[in-house]
Amino acid sequence: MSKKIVIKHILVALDTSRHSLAALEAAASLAKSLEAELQGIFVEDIKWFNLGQISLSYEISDLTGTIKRLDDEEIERQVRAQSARLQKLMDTIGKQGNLKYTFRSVRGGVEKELLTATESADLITIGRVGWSHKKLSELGRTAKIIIEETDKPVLILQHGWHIGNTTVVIYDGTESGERALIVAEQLAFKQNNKLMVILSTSKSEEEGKLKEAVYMILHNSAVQVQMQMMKADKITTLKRIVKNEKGGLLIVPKHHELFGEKNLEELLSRIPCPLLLFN
Amino acid sequence: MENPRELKSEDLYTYCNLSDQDFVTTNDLEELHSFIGQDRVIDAVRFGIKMKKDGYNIFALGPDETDKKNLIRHYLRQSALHDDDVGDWCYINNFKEHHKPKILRLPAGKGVELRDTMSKLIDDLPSILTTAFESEEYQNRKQVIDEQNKDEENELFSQISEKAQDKGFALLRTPAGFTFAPLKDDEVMSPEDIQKISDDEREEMERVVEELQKDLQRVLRQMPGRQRGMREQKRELNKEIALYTIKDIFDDVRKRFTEIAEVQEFLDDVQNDIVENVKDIIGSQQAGGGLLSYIQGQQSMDTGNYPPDEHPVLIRYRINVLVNNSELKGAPVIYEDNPTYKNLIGRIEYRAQLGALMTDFNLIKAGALHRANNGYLIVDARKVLMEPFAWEGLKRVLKSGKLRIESPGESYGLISTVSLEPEPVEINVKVILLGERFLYYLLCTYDPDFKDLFKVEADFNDEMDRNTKNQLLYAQMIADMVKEYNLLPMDKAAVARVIEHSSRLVNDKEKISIQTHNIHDLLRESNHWAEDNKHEKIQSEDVQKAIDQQKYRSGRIKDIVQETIRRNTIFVDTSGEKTGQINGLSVLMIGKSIFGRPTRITARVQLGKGEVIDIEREVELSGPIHSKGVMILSGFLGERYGNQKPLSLKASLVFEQSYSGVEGDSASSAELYVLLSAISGVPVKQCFAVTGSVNQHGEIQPIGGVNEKIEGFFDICNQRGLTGEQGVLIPESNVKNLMLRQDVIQAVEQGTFHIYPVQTVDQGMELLTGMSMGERNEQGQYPGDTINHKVEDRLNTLVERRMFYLGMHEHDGRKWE
Repeated sequence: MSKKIVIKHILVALDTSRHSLAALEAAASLAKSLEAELQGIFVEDIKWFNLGQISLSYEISDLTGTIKRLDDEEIERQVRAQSARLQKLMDTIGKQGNLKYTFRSVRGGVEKELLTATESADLITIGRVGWSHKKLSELGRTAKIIIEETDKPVLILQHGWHIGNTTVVIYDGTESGERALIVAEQLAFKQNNKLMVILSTSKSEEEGKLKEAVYMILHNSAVQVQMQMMKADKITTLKRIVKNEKGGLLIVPKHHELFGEKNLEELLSRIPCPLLLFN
Repeated sequence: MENPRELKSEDLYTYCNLSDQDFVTTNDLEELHSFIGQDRVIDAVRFGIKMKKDGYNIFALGPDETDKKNLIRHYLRQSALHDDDVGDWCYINNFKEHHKPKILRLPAGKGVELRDTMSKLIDDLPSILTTAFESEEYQNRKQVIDEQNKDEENELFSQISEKAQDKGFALLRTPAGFTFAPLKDDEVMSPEDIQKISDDEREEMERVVEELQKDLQRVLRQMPGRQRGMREQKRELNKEIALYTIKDIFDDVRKRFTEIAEVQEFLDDVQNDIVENVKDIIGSQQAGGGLLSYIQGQQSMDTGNYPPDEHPVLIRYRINVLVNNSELKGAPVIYEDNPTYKNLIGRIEYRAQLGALMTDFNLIKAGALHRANNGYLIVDARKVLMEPFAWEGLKRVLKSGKLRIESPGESYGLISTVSLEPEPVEINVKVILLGERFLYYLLCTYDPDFKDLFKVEADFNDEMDRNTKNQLLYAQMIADMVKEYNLLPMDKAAVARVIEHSSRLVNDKEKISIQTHNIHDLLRESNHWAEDNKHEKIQSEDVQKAIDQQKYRSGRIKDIVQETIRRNTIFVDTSGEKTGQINGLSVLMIGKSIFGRPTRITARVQLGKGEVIDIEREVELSGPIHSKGVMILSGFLGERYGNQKPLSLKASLVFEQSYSGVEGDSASSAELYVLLSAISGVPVKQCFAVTGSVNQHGEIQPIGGVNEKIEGFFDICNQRGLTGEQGVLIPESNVKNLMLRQDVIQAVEQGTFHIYPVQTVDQGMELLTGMSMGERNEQGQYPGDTINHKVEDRLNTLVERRMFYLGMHEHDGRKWE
């Protein structure tokens, strides 16, 4: 290996939605493999506290539909309870996995606080959607903002997705592609996974160069590596490869031509696996 | 009176003469393929086998030394070969009540086939289903359902959200639900802005919020129903996909068991259960969900990755082949060596799982009764009676005809845990109990169920007649044993020696023992000595060595007893004459060792009222039969000497230096001899020892252990040096029992030891004293210088003295007793 990318801090954005919990599970697994610290963060949305000061605020329970007055005290109570649950969860996961971890609750705007928190992290894990009523094919608002704004690798997860036995990485010859490949190799090695490198180029004459570059980058690697070309109908090709290889984690350079915003949403809806975007 | 003739050496032993038989060694003998001397048992067993009615189970009774098991098993196997009503027994899951597994009877061999088929199906099932449920088609259709529902939900929320926005409100998420917040310039109003709103505006806003809340409430209350609907849609989709996916493999299985309706029914149940639980089955192939489960309040972080053997759903489809009779030819014949309750009835095992004991129908284990169903079960009666609950359990099954597996704790209401209640198995089994006779009679007496359940009594003979035909059969039986145990061939003389020893075992020269265990042991030990002597075949000397060694090994106590006599620690005279003293003979049985020993018996006479006191009885050292024997003596004395006058003596009898109990009446003749000696004052020759019981007429009756008794006295005399006068008086009716040792026979041949068969007390008394007993003359008097005369004379003297004392005390006015 020519280079090594060190991931020491993994940030996981928490609420009690199913996707967020899936993100925590995956983050814990990665933290264990990479011997990194797990940083749990729960943002207490400032909007809730403003609402508590409005006299005509009522809360309609999403479980029973009952209505009750929403005031500061009630909001505080609910937020404290949510925070305590997440703290307990982090404690359990940390102890069971023998992980280094921190957990903090911060009050403020969700996106702003999360973006601030990303500064001290080497990798961010987020659920694909939170509580917002989105179509299955859509990314949540918070996820979108984090992906757009941060320059750190972002791991997107959804309930029911698992890291699996084969790490799949797209290598397009760019610098971010190289970083993605290096991290993919590190993760595959740590998790004893197979590594599938998908060579992405529209020009078949560049295939040899890409292969050579992969050999150069991975020439000392102990990981079992396979390579495939991805040409036309890329999402379909990618889906087939991921399915055939029982692929778990898919690592992609963030600015790969594959992903405009809509393509990312399409990819997430068609390929049900965790996605790690790399700058 | 004519003295009894002394026995000759040919009276003391009957040699086995096989010279007419045309064989050199046992290799030349034809196999017997049968059991000798047990015709009654064989008929009983055949009857028991053929009687198919309830209760006609068999109790094979006889001593442990008889090989009851092999004989019974031999005939059962012969009969079993003609029975073809055997099958496999399996437990399968009961899909309606999981704790009540169902029993499934299949043709022999089909149980294993079904088990293996289902096992393969179970192994394949998760991957087949996973492939189907991971297929693009399924995922698309599932996603369509999800999206359709999600879209509909979102649409409802969007409508409310838009309506709220139109009315100047935003729909916001709170930690536990939703709220409507007033907007100003597309931003949520601050508390300060709210303060500036007029009361009318506030009132209007509250009305609008109330309306929006009702709309939202309506939507939220639809959610459970919508979720239910979505789940139902998915369930239908799962069912369709699952049924389609498993159809092929199920069709294959069904084809193999087309003619068995119960299997088809079971497969229907399995198919339905797979459809109902497809998610759990696929879950075994997929990781995940653990954290969420944990957060949602479940304890385990287990990801649900079960191996097929432990998967809580897949194990329901397994087949627990309780009894596999695929290799069996005919009906089963089972011998249960360890008939504990569980080994007979079967048991339910448990496995520890997270500190709790869990079980399922796969952990039901068969008992011997399951294995023997539609066949035969042989059990040792003593063992089954000694095992807690086993006897009652066995009887319960035989009475009800149903085999229900439950722990004894449950049956007796001691434990009541949630466990399995397997469907009872219909039992049709013939049970054969093997036991000693006393067990049979005890059970007949004390167990009211016993006679109803074991109606067939197969009573083993201990011995059979010794004649030429039977001797040949015996030789063939020996040949069979030699082959069975892979021993060296046995030559003719050795066979003859075994037969002779067999007669000795039953203490009867006209009988042969058919207690085969003893013969087995003798053959094996003879083989050992033959090998030790580098013989190519077992010879007579090897058999003799085996017999001698058996005696030597168990002869320590005998040697000690003889040594104490030889060293005069225990007083036994073997020469001279003594009045009121005689050598009786008794037999000691200690473990395997049986030997005779002489015991000094003494008698003393004094004035009394006609009593014979048995000192052994007075100190409670005698058994009832011994006491009876002594009381008979009073009858004899009364009849012979007390017809005209009352007996006025008090006689005491004692076994000298006897420190333990005495039982049996074989010394009663000796007691009578010594009593007559004591009364008459005529001394008894101490060179004789005496055995035999006596009746009130003075006839000597047969006793047991005659050979051991003679040999016991001979050994003492021989150790002290044979004088040529020593000998033993035995009942004449015991002559047929004589199978004495060669050294005794040689001494008799040489005239250094004598054995006299005696029919009456008079004969014995004359031999012992050398004096005639005498018979009454016409006047009713015994001639002088006869024992009877001396006895009567002494008794008369005692009567006179008694009368004298009686008269003297009557004169005093006192009653004399």
